[in-house]
Amino acid sequence: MRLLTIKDLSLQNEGYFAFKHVTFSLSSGESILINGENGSGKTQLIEAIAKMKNTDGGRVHYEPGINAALMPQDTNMVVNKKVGSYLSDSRKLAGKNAINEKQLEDIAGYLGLATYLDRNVSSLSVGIRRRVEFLNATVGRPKILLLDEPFAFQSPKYVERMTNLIDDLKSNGSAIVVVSTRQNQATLKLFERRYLLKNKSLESIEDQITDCILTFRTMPDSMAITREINSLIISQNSSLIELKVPLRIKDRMIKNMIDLNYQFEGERIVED
Amino acid sequence: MSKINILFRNFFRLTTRNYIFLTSLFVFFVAEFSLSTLFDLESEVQFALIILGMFIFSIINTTTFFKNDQIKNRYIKQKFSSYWLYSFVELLFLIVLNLFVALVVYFLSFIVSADFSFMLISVLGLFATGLVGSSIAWIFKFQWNASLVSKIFGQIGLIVVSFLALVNLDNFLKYIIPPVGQFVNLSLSKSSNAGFMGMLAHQIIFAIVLFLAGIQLNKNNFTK
Repeated sequence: MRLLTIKDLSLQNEGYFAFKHVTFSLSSGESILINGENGSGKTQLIEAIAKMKNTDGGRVHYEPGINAALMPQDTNMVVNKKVGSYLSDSRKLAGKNAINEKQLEDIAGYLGLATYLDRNVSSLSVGIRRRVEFLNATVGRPKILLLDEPFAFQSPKYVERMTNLIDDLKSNGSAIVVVSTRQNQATLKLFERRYLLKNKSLESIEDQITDCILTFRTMPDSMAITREINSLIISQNSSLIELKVPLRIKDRMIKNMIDLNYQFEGERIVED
Repeated sequence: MSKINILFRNFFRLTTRNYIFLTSLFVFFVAEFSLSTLFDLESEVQFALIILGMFIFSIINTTTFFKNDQIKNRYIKQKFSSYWLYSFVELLFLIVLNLFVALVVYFLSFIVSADFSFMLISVLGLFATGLVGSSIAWIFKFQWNASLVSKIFGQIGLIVVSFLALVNLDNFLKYIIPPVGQFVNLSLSKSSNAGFMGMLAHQIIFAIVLFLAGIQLNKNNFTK
């Protein structure tokens, strides 16, 4: 079921377009990542999707009866409430779809927030505050979840846990939009589609990715490298070899190197 | 019910932790005290000045309330989704706030009357004046959106309508401008309770009309 439709959306601010003619849709259980440089308009786009901006063209359509929640980028707003009370109020505002108090406590513990429930929200560090805001956005189990830089200032442990919670929401039918300046390799698997907000327009990012870098460790019984593989080497020392390979032949190259007794260490995406 | 409770507490915190409300209330008390002790004014003149003070106080504080609401409650509004329920709670809060201020302001004015009905009408008159001030501020709530044109138009509009509210006319126009000046004139002319009751009804009806117009006018700017 299609939950969110964005059609030809444009926003102008003080004579400059933040973005133009943005179009995409999201179905139940789908998630997308929107990357972009600083100042590219990602926050304005996600706030427009949350219907918090008066746009200059196009429309944002939610499936009737669907609730949306936004985790904002801005955590400077003063909130003179205790964390527990802040989250509890959000839970009550979300109505019958929200998690119960016990679940809230459990998830707070899972995100490392259990010891902060009696602290004032405004006294928290940036990283903890952002995790509180993440939980604040998800307590209502929204059908459309909009996250602005959710993984900023988070350690890998909590990035993984937040990813698990997002995955859980997806499996329960929520649609997720994440905007981020950087691509976090650990979370890439979460997204069905990726976009790049560049030059005021949204481009599908799949077209941009052509190569990846594969890292292998030389073992005592490693065999000589073939001419084909040799042409792909970008760096080599006594123990590690890095190959830059087109995505379409990545799996074959990994198999070939493993067959030659090299240990596969990892991969990373190279974008244009 | 819990949504109303949460929002009401939020508005209460927004107002009481804002230095403008407490400072202006304190200044009001000081002015009242000065009127009753330093100046040898008749009680009717004193009351007329308190009506003016109440009107200006409610405009300033309601405007400040809306400004803070626009800035600090952006993300709460996004969660709330129901514009009508949110506006209802705002209205409820302003009614309670104006009633509280009217009571406190009247009793701290030291204008004591043996006639209970006169005291009641005086408090309700101040309350209604406060509601008129709040309703005028509500009409111009849109000025807290980002647009510069909105801000300029809103500020000028607020000043113009507030000025018109203080004008005392005898022709048909007195029914279409906010009746604060008329209430002041009524107070100075030592009118009867019946006269005051009529004015009270006029003010409340005017405030209701302006509130409804303001709620409708600002509907599209709810979360923006």
